[in-house]
Amino acid sequence: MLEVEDLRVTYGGVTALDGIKLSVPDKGITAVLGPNGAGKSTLLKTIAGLVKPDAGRISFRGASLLGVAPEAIVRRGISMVPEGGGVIRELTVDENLRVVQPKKRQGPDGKSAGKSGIDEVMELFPPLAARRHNAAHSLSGGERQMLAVGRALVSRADLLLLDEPSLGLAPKFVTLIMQTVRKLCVERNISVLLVEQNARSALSIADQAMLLSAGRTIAARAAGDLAKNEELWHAYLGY
Amino acid sequence: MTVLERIQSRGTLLTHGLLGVLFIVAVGVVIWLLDSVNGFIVYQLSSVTYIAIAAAGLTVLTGQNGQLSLGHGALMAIGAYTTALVLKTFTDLNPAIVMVASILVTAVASIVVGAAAARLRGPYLAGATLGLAVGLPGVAIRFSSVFHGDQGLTVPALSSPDALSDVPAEVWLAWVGLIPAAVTFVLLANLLKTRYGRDFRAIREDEVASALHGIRVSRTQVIAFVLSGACAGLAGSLMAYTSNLAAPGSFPLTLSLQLLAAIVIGGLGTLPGAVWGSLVIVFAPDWIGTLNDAMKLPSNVRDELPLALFGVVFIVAMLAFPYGIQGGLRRLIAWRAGRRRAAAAQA
Repeated sequence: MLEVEDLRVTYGGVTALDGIKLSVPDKGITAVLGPNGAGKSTLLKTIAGLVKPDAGRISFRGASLLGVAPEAIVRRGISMVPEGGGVIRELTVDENLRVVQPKKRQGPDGKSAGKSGIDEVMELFPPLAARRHNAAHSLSGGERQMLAVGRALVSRADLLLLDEPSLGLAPKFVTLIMQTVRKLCVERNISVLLVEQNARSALSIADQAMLLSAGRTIAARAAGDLAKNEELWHAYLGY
Repeated sequence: MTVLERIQSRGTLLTHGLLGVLFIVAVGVVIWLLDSVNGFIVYQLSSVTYIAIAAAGLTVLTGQNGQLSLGHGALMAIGAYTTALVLKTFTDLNPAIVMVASILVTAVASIVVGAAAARLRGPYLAGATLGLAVGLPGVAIRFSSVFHGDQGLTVPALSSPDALSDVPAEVWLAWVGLIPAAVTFVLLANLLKTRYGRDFRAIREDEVASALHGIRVSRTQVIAFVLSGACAGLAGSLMAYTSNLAAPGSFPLTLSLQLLAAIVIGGLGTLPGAVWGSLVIVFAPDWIGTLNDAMKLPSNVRDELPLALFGVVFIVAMLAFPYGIQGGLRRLIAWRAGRRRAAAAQA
């Protein structure tokens, strides 16, 4: 679905990504792991169009994403959830979801199926339903992540880019978010690219994983294999 | 179901439209009655109509979309000069057509300004629009063969139709001003409830997050600017009709700053706030002048004091109502509702 080749990104002379290669399949969860400063977030931002790469190729369903504006990338079916959720704080939960709602979504029966997307999110995340008409800045960190994932759902994204969804969350919410991501992935054929420092919880739901360090790919293999490789754990993830 | 609820169920535009018509009729009658008491107040009220239109446009741009403009006085000038030039060629043209022409010309000019503005942020945007406010009146002086320089262009006075020939001129002018003002407020109130209103606010809050929500940020910012500019153009056209003149001196930098002051003191980002602010902007200087004259101060103090007092009024108002007059009213209403609930709970 998503192919990244020889991706190089520098910030004012400092190399953040140094020739990354990545292939995200049509469905399943791909985890990107690595220590602080490895370039994990930069990778997601570059795919989402927020950062311009110096070299390399990014293609989504065969079409290049280079030079495409972030809002246009969203419309092609890639939804990014940045660190902290990237919700719009002054808008209500309902309005946050309405913003991404496609203007007129024609269902198979020709009827507008627009509203159901938001209702689905409310069913999926009961805590959000209770806060539906509250401003997003009043949400807890966990609720905010739920809203961010819900936003991807309403926009009918095919590829979800998740940046550290577990950051600063209570363990209860980490589990809920991870389980929901897994569920969405299976039930709706959504492909997920998950960036995490919390390697254990990420590997527990991922199908494949890659390990980044200093802007380079150290390893890319099935999640189960990476979880068992003690040498890599010790060297790069510090366990 | 009450009548109001039944109307509301038919849609927001109808509700707002009916409120607008009621507003026109109510204020129209008040103006009619007021004229026999004080004709000058009626003349001032027609100034309120065009200041309120411009302020409404600015509050959508600055309050809702987060783009600061110090140049809306210049956009009003474009509307006023369009009106003057159109009327120079077609003397008896219907005011509605003249106003639409002014709106269109100003909207086109706003596309250019808005496209530049969408690339600028914060102080840079303020600086660029400030340049517009300072520079544009100079165009009228540079090309004086078309715009008649400092003298400006005269605009023929609006005359009431023969059937209403008993209506005094200033009443007719205020009535004519009320209609575009009500239409502007109805349309803007409606627009803010749609996808555009949501997108405007999303961008004000966080441009990066908005882009990740799939909002075309630059395009939406230009749309907000054009919308706001169109309001300024309409306001300029009405101003030209009211003062019978389009001249550079009518559009000083202070006009742009007054508009900004109006929306802040009225309650930034709220449409009723634009009305409150416009009332303050039009009536406060006059009241301050009266007060000043009554104090019988030496002439050097008397000449300088009104501006200082105007500033004091603003500072005190902002200390008392940090969210403007509309914010203060909302708090008052919420406080009273809370007391009523508490009283009901006790009983």
